[in-house]
Amino acid sequence: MPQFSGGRLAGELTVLGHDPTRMPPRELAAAGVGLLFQNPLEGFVAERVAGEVAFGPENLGLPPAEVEARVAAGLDAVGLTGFGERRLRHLSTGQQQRVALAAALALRPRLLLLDEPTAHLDEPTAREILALLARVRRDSGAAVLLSEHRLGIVAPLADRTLVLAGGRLLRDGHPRDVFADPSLPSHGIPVPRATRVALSLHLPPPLPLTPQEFAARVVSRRGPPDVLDVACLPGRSQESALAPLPPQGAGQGNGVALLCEDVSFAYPGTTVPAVSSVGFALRHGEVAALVGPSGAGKSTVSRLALGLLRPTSGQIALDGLPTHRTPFSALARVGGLVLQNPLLQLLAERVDDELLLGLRHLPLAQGRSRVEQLLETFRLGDLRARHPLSLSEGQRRRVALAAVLARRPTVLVLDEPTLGQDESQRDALVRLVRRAAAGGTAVLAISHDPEFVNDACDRVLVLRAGRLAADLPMSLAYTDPARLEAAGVGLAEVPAAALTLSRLGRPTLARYAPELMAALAP
Amino acid sequence: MTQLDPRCQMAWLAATLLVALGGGEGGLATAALLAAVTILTTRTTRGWLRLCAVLLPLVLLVALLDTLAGHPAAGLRTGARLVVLASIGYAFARSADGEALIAGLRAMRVPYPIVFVLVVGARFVPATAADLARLRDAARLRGLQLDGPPWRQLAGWRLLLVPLLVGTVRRGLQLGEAMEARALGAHPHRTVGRRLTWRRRDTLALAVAVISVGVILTWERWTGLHHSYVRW
Repeated sequence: MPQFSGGRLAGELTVLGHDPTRMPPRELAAAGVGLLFQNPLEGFVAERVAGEVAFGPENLGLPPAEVEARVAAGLDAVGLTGFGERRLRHLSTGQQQRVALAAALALRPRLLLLDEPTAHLDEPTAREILALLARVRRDSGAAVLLSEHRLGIVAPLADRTLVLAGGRLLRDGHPRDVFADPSLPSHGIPVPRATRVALSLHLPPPLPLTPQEFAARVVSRRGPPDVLDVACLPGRSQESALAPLPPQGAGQGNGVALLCEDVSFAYPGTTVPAVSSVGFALRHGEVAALVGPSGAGKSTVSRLALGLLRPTSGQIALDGLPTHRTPFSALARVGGLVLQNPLLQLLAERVDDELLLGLRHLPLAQGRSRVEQLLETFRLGDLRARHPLSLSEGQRRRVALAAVLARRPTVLVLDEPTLGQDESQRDALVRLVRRAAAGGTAVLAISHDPEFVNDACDRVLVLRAGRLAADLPMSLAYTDPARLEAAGVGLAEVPAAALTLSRLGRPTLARYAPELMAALAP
Repeated sequence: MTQLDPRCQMAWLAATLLVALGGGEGGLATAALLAAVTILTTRTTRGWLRLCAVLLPLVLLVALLDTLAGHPAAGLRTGARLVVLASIGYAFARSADGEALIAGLRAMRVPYPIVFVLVVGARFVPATAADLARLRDAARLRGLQLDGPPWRQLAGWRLLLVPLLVGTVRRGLQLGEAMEARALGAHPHRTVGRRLTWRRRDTLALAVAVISVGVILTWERWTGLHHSYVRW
């Protein structure tokens, strides 16, 4: 639908036999093109489920009985029969994405275009949505074009993979054939991790696309691999050789950067607490992931930790400062927050000014020197004079993180830092986070991304219905991944492969790809 | 109130606003009574009390200024009018069902592009407020002064305007794309999905509103007792 974004189009483009440059998107929609976006809430028009699903058929001027029938069929297809009168904002993110899919299906599309539909979902929900999509495709016969970073889940469902690089079509074929090309990583194209390990082990075809397929292939293989090729393997990102970024307030909290003691919180006007009796301590230099289903209280805990909310009961100490009786200006000196949407965080007109903005408490020369250091560390030197809002999504995220780290916070909260990021951007982020942690900053990262949690985090805190359901070391990904899985932590591909191998009778311990390689080496 | 037909709800709101703005003391008392019925039947009393606490300084300021100008009665009237108008607006906004209102407006033959502009505009308010809260949190944690003396607040808030505007425009474009991608405007006649049923209780509620407003306004006009803001 090129009319949404404008620009110049060369060549020939045909969508369901129509020329989209001459046909408005609403008519393409009526002709059978369905769209699904990353964040379902941003596209909702109605308040209730049935009204939302009915919106498209009503726009087509269909008779009311037909509209009702399409609503019922759409909700049935996504497993939400009986949800018609529910308010959309009361649903979980996964249910909201199902409603968005039902709304697209109600137009009886012959072509479904999906823009990272699982970006806002946790791992199990993402799997559910993609499995649902596969069923819908089978039942409706619609063609589905899906852009997605979660290759490990989506690759086995796809009939075809189109690889784009630098605006050009690099590969087009069955995922097993496309990902068998060992040159893809060198073009910056992500490949499922289990697949990369399989390629390095030179497993005979067919190429596995998931950790489970990989384990099954390894177990069925006879004899040791002929060649071990560990080049280009994904692994724990190497921490930067540059100097770490020390937090300015470190040391005031006796090694503990953040202490939550029996914390409960209820929003005004509500009776059900959003957070109940949550307690944990985060030490300087520790990186902890905060995971859990939507509505579990992750954002509330992070806002409590930074003193943006005051607990209803219990206590929180941020770098030794009790948040309930410390002025916010003092808490702001030791706490930092990077939002999910960096657009809401970029306030200045130049990148270097953005970094300087939070350093007004320092003498100007000292502030400028720190900015120079950050521009180098974050590789933003060439972009220093650009307006932050004119940058790409990945660059904006880097600027937002650099601007927060400029103040050298003792506790850094990251809200879904890898949302919409590809593997190379995620690896870069992991390096920067580990580097901040090496300097003593404690990091609390809300994340649905198992690969980021595996690569960047030392600990994982699982929240469920406002309570801390588990507090586990991420080293379990190496020693006992089943325990993480049982606690509701989505496993990254390598520990998942190791766990499957163990379950198939070949005990394997591996958290990162090189460990898996070593475990499978003769 | 929430059980009434949305057309009746809108008529009730219009009647209350009319009598609050167009009436004198009697009209104001009638509007207060209608507003009280709305608040009690929509179970928004607790929120309304919070609203009153917020409005109190403004009401006192208005009363004080009018008193200093030698018109204490006018000050009291203006303050009371403010409270009544804000109360009825609050109760309606808290209890109204967006989809029912769409159906009501469509049943009154308001063209659907206008209806959607109104509805989408209303949906933007909470979303923009949430964006502003996030923006404010992130900015405060970067040491920006968003409280303190007004000139310092102004400097801080000025910085938040561009990202807030960009975020709002972006959301508007996304919503526009989402609506068009679902065929909005593809067909000249849109289906009216929800059928409304006008019941006896709707007639009764409408009669109470229209008769009380009509009687009080006519009486005030006839006796020359009105002090309205609206000349009629």
